[in-house]
Amino acid sequence: MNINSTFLPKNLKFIILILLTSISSCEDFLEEVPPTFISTSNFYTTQSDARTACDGVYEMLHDGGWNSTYGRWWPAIDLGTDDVVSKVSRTNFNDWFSHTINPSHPWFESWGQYSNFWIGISRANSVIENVSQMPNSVFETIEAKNSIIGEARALRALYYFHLVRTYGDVPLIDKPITSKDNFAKPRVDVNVIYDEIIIPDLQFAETNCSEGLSDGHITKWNSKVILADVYLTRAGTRRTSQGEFVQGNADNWLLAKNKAAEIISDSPHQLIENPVINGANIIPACGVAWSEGHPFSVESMLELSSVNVQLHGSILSRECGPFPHGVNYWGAGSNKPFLNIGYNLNVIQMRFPGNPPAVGLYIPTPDLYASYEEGDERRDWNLMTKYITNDGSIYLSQPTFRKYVDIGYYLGNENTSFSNTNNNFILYRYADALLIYAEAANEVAAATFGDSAYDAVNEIRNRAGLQDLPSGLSQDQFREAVWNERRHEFAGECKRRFDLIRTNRLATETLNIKKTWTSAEGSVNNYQNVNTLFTGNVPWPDHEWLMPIPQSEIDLNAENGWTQNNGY
Amino acid sequence: MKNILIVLTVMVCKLSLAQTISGIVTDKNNLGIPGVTVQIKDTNIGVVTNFDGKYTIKASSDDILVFSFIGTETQEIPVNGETIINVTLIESAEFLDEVVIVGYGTVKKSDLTGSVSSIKAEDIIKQGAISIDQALAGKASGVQVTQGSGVPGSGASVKIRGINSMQGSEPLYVIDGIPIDNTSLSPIVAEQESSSQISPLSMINPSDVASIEILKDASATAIYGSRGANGVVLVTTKSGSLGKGRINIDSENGVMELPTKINLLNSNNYWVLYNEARINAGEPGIDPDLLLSAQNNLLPTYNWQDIVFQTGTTSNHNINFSGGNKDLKYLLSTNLFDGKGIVKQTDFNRISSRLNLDANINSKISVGSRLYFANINSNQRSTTTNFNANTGANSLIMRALVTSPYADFDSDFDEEGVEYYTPIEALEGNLYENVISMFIGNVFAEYKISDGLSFKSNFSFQDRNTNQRFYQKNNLPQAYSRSGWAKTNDSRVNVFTNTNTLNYIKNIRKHNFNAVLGQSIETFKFSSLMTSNAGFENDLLLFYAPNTAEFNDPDLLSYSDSKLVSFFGRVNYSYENKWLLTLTGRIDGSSKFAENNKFGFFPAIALGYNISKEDFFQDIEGISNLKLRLSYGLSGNQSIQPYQSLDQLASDTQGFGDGNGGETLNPIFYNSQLANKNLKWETTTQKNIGFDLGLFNNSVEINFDYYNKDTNDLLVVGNRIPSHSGFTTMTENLGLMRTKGIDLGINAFLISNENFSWKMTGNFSKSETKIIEMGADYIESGYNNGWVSGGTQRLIVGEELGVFFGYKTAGISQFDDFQEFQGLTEQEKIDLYYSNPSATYTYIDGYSGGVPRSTSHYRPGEQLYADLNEDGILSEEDRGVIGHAQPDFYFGINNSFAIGNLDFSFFIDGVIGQDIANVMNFRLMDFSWGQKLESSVSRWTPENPSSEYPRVDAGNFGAPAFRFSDRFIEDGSYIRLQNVTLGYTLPKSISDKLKLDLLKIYISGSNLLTISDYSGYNPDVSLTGNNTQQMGHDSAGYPLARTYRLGVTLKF
Repeated sequence: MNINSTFLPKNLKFIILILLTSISSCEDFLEEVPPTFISTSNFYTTQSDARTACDGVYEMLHDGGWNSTYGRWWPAIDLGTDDVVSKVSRTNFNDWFSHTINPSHPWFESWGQYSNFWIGISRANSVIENVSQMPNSVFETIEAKNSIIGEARALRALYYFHLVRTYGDVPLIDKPITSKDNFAKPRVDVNVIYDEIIIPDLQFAETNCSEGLSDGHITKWNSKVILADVYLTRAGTRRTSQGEFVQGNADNWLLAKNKAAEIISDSPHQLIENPVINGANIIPACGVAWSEGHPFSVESMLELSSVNVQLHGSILSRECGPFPHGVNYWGAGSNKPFLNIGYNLNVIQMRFPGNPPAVGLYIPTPDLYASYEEGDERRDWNLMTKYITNDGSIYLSQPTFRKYVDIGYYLGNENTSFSNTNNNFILYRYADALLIYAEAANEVAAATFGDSAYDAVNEIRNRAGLQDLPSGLSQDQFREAVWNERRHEFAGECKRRFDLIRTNRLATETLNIKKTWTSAEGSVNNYQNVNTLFTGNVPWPDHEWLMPIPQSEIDLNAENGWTQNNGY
Repeated sequence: MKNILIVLTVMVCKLSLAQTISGIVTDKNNLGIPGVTVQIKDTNIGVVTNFDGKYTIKASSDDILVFSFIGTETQEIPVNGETIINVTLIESAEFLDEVVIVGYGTVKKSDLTGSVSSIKAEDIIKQGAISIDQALAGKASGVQVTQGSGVPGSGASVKIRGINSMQGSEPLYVIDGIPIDNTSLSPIVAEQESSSQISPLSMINPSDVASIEILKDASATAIYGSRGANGVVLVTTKSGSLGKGRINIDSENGVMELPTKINLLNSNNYWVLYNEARINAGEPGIDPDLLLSAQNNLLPTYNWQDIVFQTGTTSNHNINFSGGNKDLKYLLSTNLFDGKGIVKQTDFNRISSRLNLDANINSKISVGSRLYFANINSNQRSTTTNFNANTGANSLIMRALVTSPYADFDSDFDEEGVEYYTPIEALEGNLYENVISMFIGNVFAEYKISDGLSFKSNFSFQDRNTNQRFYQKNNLPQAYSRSGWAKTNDSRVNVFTNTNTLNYIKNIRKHNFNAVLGQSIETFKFSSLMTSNAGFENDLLLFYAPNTAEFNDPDLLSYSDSKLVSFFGRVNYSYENKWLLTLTGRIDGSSKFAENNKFGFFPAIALGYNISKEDFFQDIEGISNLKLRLSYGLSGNQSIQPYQSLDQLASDTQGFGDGNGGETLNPIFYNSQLANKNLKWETTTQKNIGFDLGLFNNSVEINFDYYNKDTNDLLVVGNRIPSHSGFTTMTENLGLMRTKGIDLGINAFLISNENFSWKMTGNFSKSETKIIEMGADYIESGYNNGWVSGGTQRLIVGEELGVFFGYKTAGISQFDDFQEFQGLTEQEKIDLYYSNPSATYTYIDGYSGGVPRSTSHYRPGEQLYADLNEDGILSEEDRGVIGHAQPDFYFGINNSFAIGNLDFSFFIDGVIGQDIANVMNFRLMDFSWGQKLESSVSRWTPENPSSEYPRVDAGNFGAPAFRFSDRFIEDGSYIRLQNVTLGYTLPKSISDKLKLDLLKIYISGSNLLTISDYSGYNPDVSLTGNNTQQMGHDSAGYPLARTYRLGVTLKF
């Protein structure tokens, strides 16, 4: 086996030399320089970079996909309350009604209703850190730079605000995580998150973000309304991850009141007072901000844009549209239920003209319908039970949250599709400021007829076609009146559950829910359009004030001392 | 030739007393064999026969002439004063002298130390497979081929020695020395529809293949370094041979049919059961008139399977021209394949051409090329069942299964079963058109530096262009208000490889060296452009008029590239042909890995001992050969996408107000990937021990191997990480997977004489892959459409890969389980039950049976599940391992007979002990909606309290169907008659008159009979092809066809 060099011919040595020299250049050859993406190190050089990165933080609120926060699944937050129900037991959300929510449910796991917030926070952290480090000189003005940082901070606060209300204690992360070594983080108390992140972030944003109306970006004004909501929430009750009942700090009432007052007195926002009349279809004033063709209205304070392009539209039209099975729908138990009352339609035609699939995941309850006062324009706006097509035909529909729906899609209009509707979701409206103000002011000092708290509520009521609140309400009565106003004004806007929690009414309000639609309400016959598991005789358990941390996250963080929220 | 003759003449002149001897060397058919070496024994003097098999040589009377030719038995004939010596060479029964192609070289089979299986041309084409991966099924030990889809042109999943990796376990395919990209086309996904995946291997014409070698152990695969871990399939195409020009024509036509249908309810049972299901759910029954009709068997039944399936056809024509002289050999071939699938409107058409050239420039330099071009046109329909389609709901096959048997073929809508649209609309509504063209070729030059040493340089290029087109017509509800939807995906793959090798062969007395040293560079580039447009005035122009669309989604352009730099070497050393040693090593540098982990080293060592060459062995009767083999080595896997180690920002757009009352999409950038600075290869360490045994003069050969493979640093794409990192997954190296197994192969010439021969080849393989370590105790895998909590499978430390995870059924609850039914007569029990079929009852004290899915199902007739954690209710903790997707063993047996001019063969293969999750039964068992399995008639009723099938329940959406339990797990063991071929070769006397060398006609049937308990279409199933994390799921994919072919082979 002795192969010495004389054993090999000269040419071979030459060739081996060539082979060996080629090794040295390999390292460069193998370096990856991908042309289709960039990395943090070569980004963040211009103001435009900072802007596009900042705009990327918004995406986890609504990315047009199915699993972003306001994409497809978030409205389930209100399922099981007195406002929102799902189709008859054939649903992914049975556990919501039987109150057997478990940490492995896809809502937490595969649908990302926990992880989305962290992705948003991570993007915000990246923008805050990297933009802060950029030289001021690359920005048109220092204000432009701070405004971008302010937007990212407000969004970080908003994501955290969702997290702490939904899941309780969470880790505090205010710097980008760039390697596996930084994964280990403990869950910290909700109050720490509020004090160290949410409130300072929003205070920075309200000082540094732009004036004027919002085009979907964070402004000074929508920072303020989020902050007012934060104070309102902190004034109320909650339960901790350890299961303790906590009465909020009443000092927050004044903070909430003042913050809302700033908006009412100084902001360019206001309620839309005029309806939109479009042939047979009339959109009442209270619905205009939500309706197609009126994006980013003067009333809208934080609105998520849906554009009729694949992966940028809203899928909620599909999610809350009627499930296409005849049984148990709006009184339809057989094929031709309406012959006897003059509707020459069968169940199929009763849906939309073209039979697009819809799944009926989030539908209003009869309880909500019945809670409206006579003459409240918001009832038939919020709960659509019929619609008129362009040719004048009346179609009955299973009661549906009208604000989720692109009516053009129901009508079979061109330029509409079930997965990419042009329907924006509004997180905060000017109405929020009015009602936060009224509620907080009444807690700071009992409202008296004619004062600004009354005015705020009445502005909303009058817009909805209702009379002023009666005079002489006691503090308790006024409080109840505001709560009612919130329910009717914000129906379907993912606020009900959090309202019931902070006012300690979750168990009581969900105990006796009206489940039957009656013919007096426009139904063909009396029927129960509720999830069959939604019996109301399973009281809302205390531990379900908070959602469980997804099981996978508990498993992944076992070494960091994470324990599941109490009761799960 | 002239030169040789001159040399010979000179040599011959030196000999005195020489006489001239001439003759002709023929084969058993009396045809002259060109190229036979005729040598005077113990000298260097020899000649080669000419085109007609004739030779002339000068030899003395006491010389012995040695006639040798590859594949025949060498003959020695003493001259004995004869001047004319004619010889008939007979084909060698000895497999051992075959030359086996290994990476970057060849080795005599007797010198082989590694574990390599060879498959010959005739076995590859016999089955009539479109693609060579399909043709591997059952042909070699240790090779498991799963044909998951019957879509013409779709790839098969090939696993060599179990599963090595979670990133697919597909072997590396090397065609004529060129590693080819075998990534199936990315499907066009349009909401819940998606196109079928066509495999690039289907572009290769199997008739061009001369042999396939499968490298299995580390000694064999280490030369392919970072890509060898899953085994290597070396494909060698035919080349020209010395001799007169030949024309070879193969032409065949065939028909294909659906072998089996799924048994579904007839209309009458359908309505009777639905009526019962509704009442059981507390809902109103069906229309009384309809029920009465059903009860009296008056309703017509439509079987939609008859509508979507058809009799398919295949037509395959090959012609090749070959020949050569000593300085130039050529092979030119062309292929036309045209097939219509068994699902209507699906087809596959391939045109290919090949030119293989080998030329000697002079005595030092030789050059050659392998040039191949193929073009595929394939029209597909919506038959895919991958995870994009919820339970395959939008596959037209699934629609054919679930659509009500009462719904008329003409009906557009029937509330009670068709749900939005019929299978016909599904068939007509989604068009997928694929046009793929591929060029693959190389040019190589070899320079003989000196005796035994040569240098070879090989430049190869693969270019694949894919045009995928999709159109969804306006007749489908999904397209409603979208008014037609056109998508295109045009992509291009470029692979360039340069390989330089030095080969060295030296024999010094008893020491034989055979070494190769080389270096290669490979670059891979991928780019694609996707468009999506919707809203058309009509469906007439399909995808050809994007400019008329109302919606124009943004075009998506993507690009990636990766590079591989390698240095490799191998030394084969043998001493007295008795002791064998192979040392192999390769250094690979891949751009895909993190900065400091680009390079990996993959060494291997193998020892062989030809024990039968020992003197003491010569006396053992019957054993003609025995070789022991031992090998140990490393190989790697780098099958992840590029750029996974880098911190990435991705771009997209996000809607905002445009400031003018409208909306606009702003560009956004966001962090899309967390950097992993530690990302590196997967490394498989393989130990192999085996033997080759030849019996009875090597007419029976047995190969046996036992192996043990450990895959370390498993590449886990999408490993879950804490969400608060801002990312949910990361590509990491995690854990250890271990595969143990045995391979057994037998080749036997059982009978071999002129009028009758019987050859049998068989193989048996057993392997088991277990997860030994992982980042977590378990990872959810399998199939998860949102209804199955977590997924149908789990990767669990300590368990096999591919275990199904779910609930265990525990019978059906009966009357006696409930307090209310105690002490009643049978009739009273029945009456009580019928008084309210949706009532709930109270379990008797001390009840210890299974539990129903929830407390609202405490009633007789419900499906019960084992309460594993014994807490009295069914919860996630009651799930466990309920099946194994990996088979216990698999085998193939091929028998070939030749009786005079007739030849006959049959081929059986089988897979035993695999479980299948019958995902389509999610829909075909639950009674919320749609057509159901015929077995539903055996349901529990008060009068017929089944202990196997629960009562039917229209409210049962979610249970039992979507409680993923062992009800959906079936034994997928099968034994299949894969192929029977009967051929007749015209007697030589007739073919001579026709001026033909050969005329053969044959009839062949494939997939003729499958013996299996599995209830689906066919038991080779996989939801997503080669995804090792979703093995063994059947979602009513495109079934495999049964094929009958009639063909003719002409040679002249």
